[in-house]
Parts: sequence; structure tokens; C-alpha cells
Amino acid sequence: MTAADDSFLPRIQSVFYAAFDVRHGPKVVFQSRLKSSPKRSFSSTRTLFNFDDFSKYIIPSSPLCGRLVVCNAGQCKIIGFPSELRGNYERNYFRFNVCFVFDRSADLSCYEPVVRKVSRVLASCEEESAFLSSPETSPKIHAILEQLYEDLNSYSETSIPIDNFNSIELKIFPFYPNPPPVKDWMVPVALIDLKRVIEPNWDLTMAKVCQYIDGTNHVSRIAHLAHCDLELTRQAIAHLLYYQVIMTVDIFQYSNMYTLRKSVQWLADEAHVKDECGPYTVKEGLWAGRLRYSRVHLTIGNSIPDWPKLLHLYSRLKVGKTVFEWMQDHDVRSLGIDARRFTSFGVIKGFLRRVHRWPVLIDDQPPSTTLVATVGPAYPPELPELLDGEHHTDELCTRFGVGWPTLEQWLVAAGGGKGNEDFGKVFIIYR
Amino acid sequence: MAETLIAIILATSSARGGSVVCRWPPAPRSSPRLSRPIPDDVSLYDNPWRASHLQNQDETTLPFRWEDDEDYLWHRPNAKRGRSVSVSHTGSHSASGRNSPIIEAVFEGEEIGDGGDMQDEYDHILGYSSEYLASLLCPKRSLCHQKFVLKVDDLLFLGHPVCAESGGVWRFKGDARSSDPRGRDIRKRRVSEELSTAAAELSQAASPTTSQAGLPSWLQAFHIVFVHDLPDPSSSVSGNIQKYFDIIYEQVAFTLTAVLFQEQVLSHFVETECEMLGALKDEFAAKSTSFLRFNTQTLSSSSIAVAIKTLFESIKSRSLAHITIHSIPLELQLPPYLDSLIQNDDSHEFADALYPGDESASNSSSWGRDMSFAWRLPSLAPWKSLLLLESPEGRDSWADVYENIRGSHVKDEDKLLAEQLIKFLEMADVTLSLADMASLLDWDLETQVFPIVRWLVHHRRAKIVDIVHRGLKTVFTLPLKFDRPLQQLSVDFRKVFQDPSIPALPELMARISRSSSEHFYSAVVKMKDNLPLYHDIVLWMLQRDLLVTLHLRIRVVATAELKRKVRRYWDSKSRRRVSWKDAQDEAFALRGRRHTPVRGGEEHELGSPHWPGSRRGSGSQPSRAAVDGIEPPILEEGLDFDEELDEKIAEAVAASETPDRGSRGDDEEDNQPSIITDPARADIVQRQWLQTMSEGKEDAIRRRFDQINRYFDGKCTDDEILFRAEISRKQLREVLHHYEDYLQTFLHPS
Repeated sequence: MTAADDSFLPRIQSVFYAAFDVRHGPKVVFQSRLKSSPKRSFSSTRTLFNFDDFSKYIIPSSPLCGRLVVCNAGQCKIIGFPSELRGNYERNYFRFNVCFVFDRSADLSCYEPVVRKVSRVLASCEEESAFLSSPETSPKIHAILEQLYEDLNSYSETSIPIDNFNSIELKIFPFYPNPPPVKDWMVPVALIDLKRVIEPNWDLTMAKVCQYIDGTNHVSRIAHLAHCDLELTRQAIAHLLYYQVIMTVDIFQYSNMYTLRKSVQWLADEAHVKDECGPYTVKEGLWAGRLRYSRVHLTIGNSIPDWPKLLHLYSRLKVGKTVFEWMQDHDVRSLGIDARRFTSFGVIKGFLRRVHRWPVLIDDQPPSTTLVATVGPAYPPELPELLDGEHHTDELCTRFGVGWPTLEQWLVAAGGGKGNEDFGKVFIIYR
Repeated sequence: MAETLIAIILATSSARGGSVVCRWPPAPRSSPRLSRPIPDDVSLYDNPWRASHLQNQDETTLPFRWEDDEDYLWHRPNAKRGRSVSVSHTGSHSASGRNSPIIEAVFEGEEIGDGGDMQDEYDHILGYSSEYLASLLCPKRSLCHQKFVLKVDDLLFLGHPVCAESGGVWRFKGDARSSDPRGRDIRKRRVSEELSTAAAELSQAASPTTSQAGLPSWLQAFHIVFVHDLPDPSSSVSGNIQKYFDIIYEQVAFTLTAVLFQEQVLSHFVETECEMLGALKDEFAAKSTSFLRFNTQTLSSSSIAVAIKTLFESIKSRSLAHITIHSIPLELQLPPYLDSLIQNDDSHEFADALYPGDESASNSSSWGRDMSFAWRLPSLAPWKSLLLLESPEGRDSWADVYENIRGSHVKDEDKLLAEQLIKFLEMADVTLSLADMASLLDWDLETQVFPIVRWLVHHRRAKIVDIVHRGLKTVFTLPLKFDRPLQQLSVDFRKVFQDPSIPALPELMARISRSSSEHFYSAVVKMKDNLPLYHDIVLWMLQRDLLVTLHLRIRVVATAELKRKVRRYWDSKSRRRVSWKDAQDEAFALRGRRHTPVRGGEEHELGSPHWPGSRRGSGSQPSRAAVDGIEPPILEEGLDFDEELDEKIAEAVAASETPDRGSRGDDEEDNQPSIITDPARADIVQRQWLQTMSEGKEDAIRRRFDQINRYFDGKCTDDEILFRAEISRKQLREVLHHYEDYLQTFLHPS
């Protein structure tokens, strides 16, 4: 949604009911009263568009009936679902359409099912009792339009009883984009207090998974701890991501490497970064793993390093330097900084990123010689295949359930190197 | 590429009704909609499926072909389908799964078959009868000459319909709007004027033809329609889809229509082509020739058909479409990163570019409107450099360019220009900045160099890169993602660089990435003799976006020690005039409070040097434009003890502190180290700090620091500083060394 929108859902400007009149052709039969928006209060009779120009899209001939039609009309956008019913009518058919008018820039994804449903319900009313075509009942449509307009704009839901059998029940759901695919090595971080919103009728896997979302456990570990199927855990995490109540960071290890991103040039001056960083990253912080601390009291006072110091520490995180080495070089421990919180703060705020190791095995030799090289610890036979530069070490670690130290030894063995950063024929690309 | 585009069609309307005159591809189809998700892997199939299919191991390896499974295809529920007649309509869906509408043959005489019939191919497109579709796509006159968007289920029709004036005369719009009784809205008029201006501009290039303008014509309206298969709305953030279609409209649909409209007005070109195509179609349909053969025939006889085909194929292959309409050459293309708008792009680097404070984004104006969006171009700045790209046809393509420029058809007066252009192209090198090139050629940067650069980048013959040190002493890192798999890249690399002394690409990358603070020479090249070879390697990698230059940025920190020093200095100063100060202190405090919100006024009131764009609050959003070219105020001139200056200092302190903390009280906060966010707009206190930093430094160094510290805002890159301050890298390094206690350096990509 664009930020300029007043709310998350687009506002209906008008609802109208159009039908094919046997004598006059397509015409607007009823419309909701036009409520001038505050900005345009000077004109109480503003015209949204000229119906005749658009009548062929609103009451179209057969090929377009039963299809969702959206057309742009000047500054508006009209969405409708033209319907055609056959039966004992003067022309053997009855065509009608309930259209919703929005601002031209509105995103109507969330209204599409609503428009379809209104048309469907009215069509069945017509089929059952000639609700739309009978002169006795058709004036009721006006009230329905009014209620649709008022309720959907005000409450995003409505319930309109039509007759003894039919009613229109609608609720508009905001439309979110699909979340990115969840990988086993992602670490979910809660952005809200999940434990507070959880309800007994929630999905069982979800309830179990939520307990282990603490900003340190990665997906496959959560599955393991919660005794859940890995795929179901991934789906549960994807679900939380979809609703934007969690975000994902990388697995923290002291062997990790980080680097600054371009955005540090602006973010370093932002108050929400400068002021939150110290309290969040200092070890004795009493704050849970979430980012909103509007009422943080600086009780710790002097024990929190100042922002220039913290920024300097961030600038010293570089490719080729592990967190452990960085801590040694800058005596981070003595400052009371929790390295995990320190790096995840940067990642969450978006000015720091993890640098992954992407091992590549360059194997120019025929396979027989590679077997000779495997003198170190036994590594899984499928490992060499995965060393093609497309799988990073977090992925390999979670796949084989080992930490970096073990994987490092395996890589040394696979490459026939001597160890201590010599991996032989395995090269590590950092990116 | 616009991945959603499924067809380009030319629809016309006349007194005889509508018709789709021309289309490409011949049989467009929208992708089938599915009723349930396709499983990514076998483990996701439901248990009954697994039980019935996975009995032996071999079958698990067979990819599941969901396309063959009717259950996966989603058929739209039919609103018209009456309960009593439902059975008779279930067969009306196209078996091919394409998006065909429901047959209501009895009604309007619009028979839609299942696609096998030859007549169908001529008369039906996307499941609609072409006559009906054309009537839908050629709207009433009042809706012509403006953007047209119609969405029907999963299809979106986008274009710019144009029509003849009443009386069947085609003419440019402009002020001929009087024929419209309501004179509709202003925006529409503006668009139509834009169209006619665009057409008029193009007409200058048009070949003189027999003017038939003003004659009545049978063609009432035509519309080049871009048909899209709507993308999955969940694939991206909602606003993006609209933006995506806007770009296609602006950059392709509108331009193509403008040219056709102009040719129609000038010489009834579209009408003639339509007549010819219509006759051809009748002839082929009468002979029962297949539609494909008809389509092939149209390509050899109609330039519109060829143009539509070329455009469609170029869009699909992400290349520049060179089309010719009535001997007017036209180049059309879509931004290279257009499709990422409708994909859920989680690329970090791209997300950075969307940051509102990003100056390179606002800098996009230097690229012009067409290239500002979805091109992901770095800013066009004098300190950047130009990298010529090899075209897909190979290296010799540049030779062709030279040939063309030198060619005999170049007029004598342009010869000099042509020579210079060749000189420019030959000179272009990643080790030379654009500013260097401008000065070497004695060209003006803005009016001569930049336009050529824009042209080259627009035609994808070159790209803007960061300047590379002649001795390859540039710090590189690797991009987050590669466009192609590493193995494929390695193979390509080996083909070009066969020398066994050159390590394999992964090894090279490992070396480059391992040493992020070491420059390329010391990390990889190591020997001077290797320089030319590695220069080529760097070019090869830069062309494929495999290297990212890291830039140094600098910030100034006022340390606690420094602040105390400055404070002591003030205190000692003010003690000397304590009697005066006591009387005035409260007044300052009050004044500070009262005036804080209107600092601009204060400056005037005090008669302090007025500096346009200067704001004292450190939290203010910096705007580089305001600083560029404006000298900082000379505030340091004579720190003598005159009362006026003292007053100013006191005022500044009061203003720089939050109102409730009062005047320059000895609050703890001010003893904390802080970053001088924007030294170019430092307030008086910050200036004082900057000056105190220079105490005990050599004069030359001090002067240089004063000269360049305004770029130490954490945003200016080293290249920019060197260019703007006109100093050498060595001189910059010297300053960094002498002031290291107060400076923080950051190394990250731009």
C-alpha cells in the first residue's frame, strides 16, 4: 500500500447498480448518495464520470458477462462484475451490474472477491424471486447500496439481509504480498509479543513454534526443539512473515563476518538508530528481543558506550574478520556489549549485513586423485557436490547439523588442504 | 522485459465495425490459473497421492506434470450459468486451459469454438471474437487521446486509443478541442497536447510524403493495445504493479502510438496499411490458407506488422527494439529492471536504493525521465567513469560504430564532431573520470560529455562505473548476487583468459573477497608485470557486474576531551567579563528559548553572516544541493574579543541545545563525544570544535583540513572529495593520518 493512503484499504467513492433497460438500454438505476470528501466539499454534486462513455464496459454484451471488469474513468476506477441471467424476460435475458467506484490510484485486489460475491448473491436472489427485475422489490437495492457504501468504508465488513434466504456477508481483508521463501538457516525475530497474541484455537504447530522464536534459534532448530515437522515449521514461519509480525536474521556465531551496507550513511544520523543502539546492545539490558523501546529509561547511564564509539565498532566489522577477531581487536567484552545483539541490531535496522562464506571446490583432477586427498575427518559424501559456490556455509551447517568448526575441518579434508585457512582446492568466496 | 506481456494488437474501428488488423504473436495465450498450489517437491504431495504414486523408487524421480492434471486447472465460475442450464455449459471452457469466455452462441451470434477451427484463428483472439474485442478496445471519442486501461479477469489491455475528428478528418489536436462540447478535463487535453507535440517533434525526422492531411477517412480510430496477463497480485507490493504498467505505457505504448498517429495525420499511413492487411486477410481466409501463413505474409508486406513483431520480441528478449514505421526509425525499450517491480525482490542492495534520503536516487534527474526508474543506474557524476560494453555480437561491433561515424554520409560540417566523438570513444577508460575526459577533450561536462554518456548508457553500449586506479589500487568486493551460476561464469572466464598462470575465477573471487580492506593490486596482482593482464580481468568482471567498488567515507567526531577544551576556553573568556555576563545570562537563556523555533530570523536579527540554506539543528535533513557551490561562512575571522561575537557564541549555544536545558549550562550530555553530522553546516560551536582539532598541527595540514572537512559527513565518497576539493589521494591520506583521533572512516559500496 502506498504510504499516502489514509488507511490500508481503498475508500469507496460510490456504489451504483446499473441494468439493461429494455427501452433505454444500459442505465444507472440506483446509486449511493455521493458523499463529498472533505477536500471537495464545495461541490456537492460532483460528477465522477459520464456513464454513457463507459456503458459498454458496465453493461456489456455476453462475452464480458461473468467476468470481473475494471476500467479507468478519468480520476476514478470502476470495478464491476457484469452478470447476465436468462429466463422469462422481455428480451430473454436480464443484465445487471453492481459497480464500485474508487480513486484511480487505488489498489483493488482486496475488493475483487467482494465485488464478485455481491454480484453472485444478487444473481441468485434474482433467479429465486426476481428480486432485481420485479418493480416491487427492486427499490430495496438502493438501501443495499447505501449500506454497502457506509459499512465497507467505515467497518470494512457488512451483513445485509436481503430476503428470507439470502444475505450479503462481506469482510475485506487487507492484501499482503507473499513472504520470501523460508530457509532452514533463517533465524526469526519477533516484532511483537507473540505469546500475548496467541490463542488456544491457533494451529498446534504454530503454537509450539512460537515458543521457540527468541532471535537465536534458526528454523531447523526450532523444528527440532518443538518436535515439529520441518516443513510444517517452515510454513508456520512463512505465515508469521506474511503477517509481518516477525523478521528473519542470520544465525549468530562468533565465526560470522559482517559488513556495512550503503544505508549506514543515512541511518547513522537517524535518532531511532543512535538512541536505541546502546540500550539494546549492552549486555545487562533488560529489554526483550524486540525493537520498540519508546520508553526506555537510560538508567544504566554511563555504562552504555556512546554512539560514536558504537559506530566506530560497526565500521570495524569487515569481510575477512570474524566477530571473534573483532571482539579481540577492540576489546568489546570490556565495554559490556553483547556481540549477538550488537550485530543483529545492525542487521535489523538495515545498515549491516552478514557476509556468507560460499565454498567452491575446484576439481580439475580426475576423480581417482580426489579420493587420495580425503585423509582428514570423514565428511558426508554429498558434501563435495554442494561445493559449487551456490550454497553458503550456514546452509551446509544446518543441512548436516554441524557448526562451522566441524564444517571447516570437513572443507579442509575435502580440498586436501593443510588447515589453518588453507583449504587446498576449496576456495571460500565471501559475499 | 515485461514478463506479463502476451500480445500486441492493433485494433481499429470504422463505420463497418471493429477489427483486429494485426497482432503478434499469432496465437497469444494467457497462462492457466491453478486451483491449488503446485507442490515444490514430492514431500509436499498429499498422502493419497504419495500412497498411490510412490510405490517404487523410480517414480519419485519423475517430475510431476501438473499441466496434465485437469484437477490443477482452475475454471472460473460462471455467473451467468443458471442452475437449470448448468449442464449445457460445462463444456464451454476451452480444453486448452486458455482464458476463453463462455459461449453464448444462441444469443449474440458469437460462436466461439474450442480453437481447432481455422476460421477461429482469423476471427478470434484470446477467446474473444476479434470484432467484439476491437469494439471493446476502441472506446468512444471522448475516451480517445488518453490512457486506456481495461482489466477483464486476468487480462489487462493497455494503450492510448486515438481517433479522427468528427467528420472523419485526422488532424493534430492542440487547440482543436472546441469540437468537444464539454471540453472535458484539463488533464486529458494536456495528454493529447503532449501526444501531438511528441508527434510534431518526430515529424521533423519524417520523410516528406504526399500529404493527405485533411481528407476524410474511413478509419475512425485505431489503438495499439498491449495485452498483459495480470501478474499474481501477491507477488509484490501493490503499488508496484501500477507503476510497472505506467512505465510500459509511457515508454512504449505512448511513443509508438504517437508515431503512428502522426503518420496517419500526415499521410493516412495507418489507414492504408489497414486496408492492405484487411484485403490480404480476406484473400487468405477465402482461400482457406492457414492463419500462420497469413501472418507470415503480413510480415513481408506491412511495416506495422513487422514493427509489432520486432517490438514484442525485443521486449521479451530485454533488448532495444529498432523498428521502422513508414521509414521513420524508432528505438524503443523498457528499463532493464522493470520486472523486479512485480517480483518479490529481496535484494538488499536494491532495497538500499529505495531509501528516501538517497541522494543518488534524487540524482536520477541527471539521467532524464526515461532512465530514472527501474534502471538502477549509479548517479551520473563527474568523478565517475565510463566503461564501454561489448555488444552481444562481439568486439567488432565498436568497429562498426566507428565506421558509421566516419562514413561517407556524414556531412562535412559534422566531420569535426564525428572525429571528436571517435576520440571520445577511444579515450573512454575506467581509469579516467568523466571530468578528466572533459578536460582532455576540452569539452563541457554538462552539455557535451553527459549527453553522450546518457546516449551510450541508454543504448546499452556503456555503463557508469567507479573510477579504477591506474595501478589497480582500488578496493573491490563482490556483489551479493551473481546474475548467472558461478560455474557458468568460470567457464566463460576460462574461455577468455586461457593463461594457466591466471587462477580460476572462484579462486580469484576468493582472493578479492577475502581482503576487503586491501586493494586489488596487493590482494591479487602482486607483480607489476601482471598489470595489463589484470586490467583486462577487471574490465571483464566489471562488465558482468562481478565487482563492486568500495568507497571510503569519513565522519568527524568531537571527542569529550575536545569539548572540555573548548568549554574551558569559553569559560576563561567569559570570566574576564563576568559582570557583563551575569547581567545578560538570563536574557540569553530566555532569548534562546524564545527563538529556537525561528532560527532563521534570529540570524538576521543578529546580523550574523547570512548563509543560504544554513540550518543549525544537527538533526536537519541535509541537502547537498544547497551546499554545492556555496562557500561556508567565514566565521572564524578574528576570534577577537569583541562583544558582538561573544554574543553570537552564547546565542549559538543556547540555540544548539534543547530549550528546556536552558543556555550553555554544563550539562553532562555535552561532555559526551558526538558526531558532527554535517560539518559543511556546522554551527558556531561545532566550528569551534573543528578549529580546536587543528591545534598543534602544521599550517599546511590545518589549511587542508579546513578546506575539506565539510565533506566529512559520512556521505561523500573519497572520489567525490578528491574531485571537489581538487586534492590528491595522498593529500587526503595525510589529513586522515594527522586527524585520526577525530575521524572515523567507513568502507562500503555506494
